[in-house]
Amino acid sequence: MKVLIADDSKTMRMIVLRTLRQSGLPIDDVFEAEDGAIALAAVATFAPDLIMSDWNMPNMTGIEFLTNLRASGNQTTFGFVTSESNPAMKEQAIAGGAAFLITKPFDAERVAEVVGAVVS
Amino acid sequence: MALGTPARRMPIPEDVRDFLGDLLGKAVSVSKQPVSDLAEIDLTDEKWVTGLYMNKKDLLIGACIAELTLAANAGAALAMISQQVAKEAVESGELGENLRDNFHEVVDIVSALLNGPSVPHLRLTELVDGIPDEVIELSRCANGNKRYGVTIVGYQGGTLGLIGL
Repeated sequence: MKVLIADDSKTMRMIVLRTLRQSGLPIDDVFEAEDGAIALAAVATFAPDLIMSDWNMPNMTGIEFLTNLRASGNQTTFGFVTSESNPAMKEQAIAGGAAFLITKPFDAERVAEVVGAVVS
Repeated sequence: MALGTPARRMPIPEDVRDFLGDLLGKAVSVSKQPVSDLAEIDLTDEKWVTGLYMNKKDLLIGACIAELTLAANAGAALAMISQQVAKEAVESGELGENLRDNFHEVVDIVSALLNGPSVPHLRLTELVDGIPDEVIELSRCANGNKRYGVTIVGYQGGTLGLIGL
């Protein structure tokens, strides 16, 4: 499975990847993006199977990334990994086409449960 | 705080222990510590780091304060950096870019412990060295003001303080 991880924190990108691997999901290739704009530009060439994105990022936020992605017709499985979470954000994420929203902190068990349910 | 607004629920030590344990991926122990006036801390002798939590109008409504020892070690533990790097940072009196970025992430995520559905939302805007005067003032009027003694297995620990209007 090819995974695109978008987060402006290098450490969080590392932790997301580490947790994905610990969850037992088959990760073949990874692209790391430090904001939504870089991530959006990378989707066409990297062709990920799964996108895991932070919500708050410079240049292009996670929800803007998702909105632009869906507007371009791309239906890649997309989930948020964010420190901020409230019912309004969850509604916005799901309405925008996100498959899940995981709140930090998280562990491998939680990632396996949530991500495993939406990827084949 | 506006009349009728529920008081912010401050986490008990067990909440902080479980939260940091999940975040750092390591066993953490947390004890309750007495709350003293922040103005009594001699900042020329003791090094602290403060995360400023703002509301939607960019008004200071909360803070996370940490002894440099805790900030350096939590920042190291988050990214599995050796305890020696944290020790060197503490000895130098500065976090350094890498540990600072990591502890910024910790403080950002810790804000979730203070947020809830019925209290004004707060978010981290800045991590600064020391304890700013406005945070000392805030601690005197905030209805939420707690201290915790935090230790991280394999690392050193220190005092963590959470303040919230």
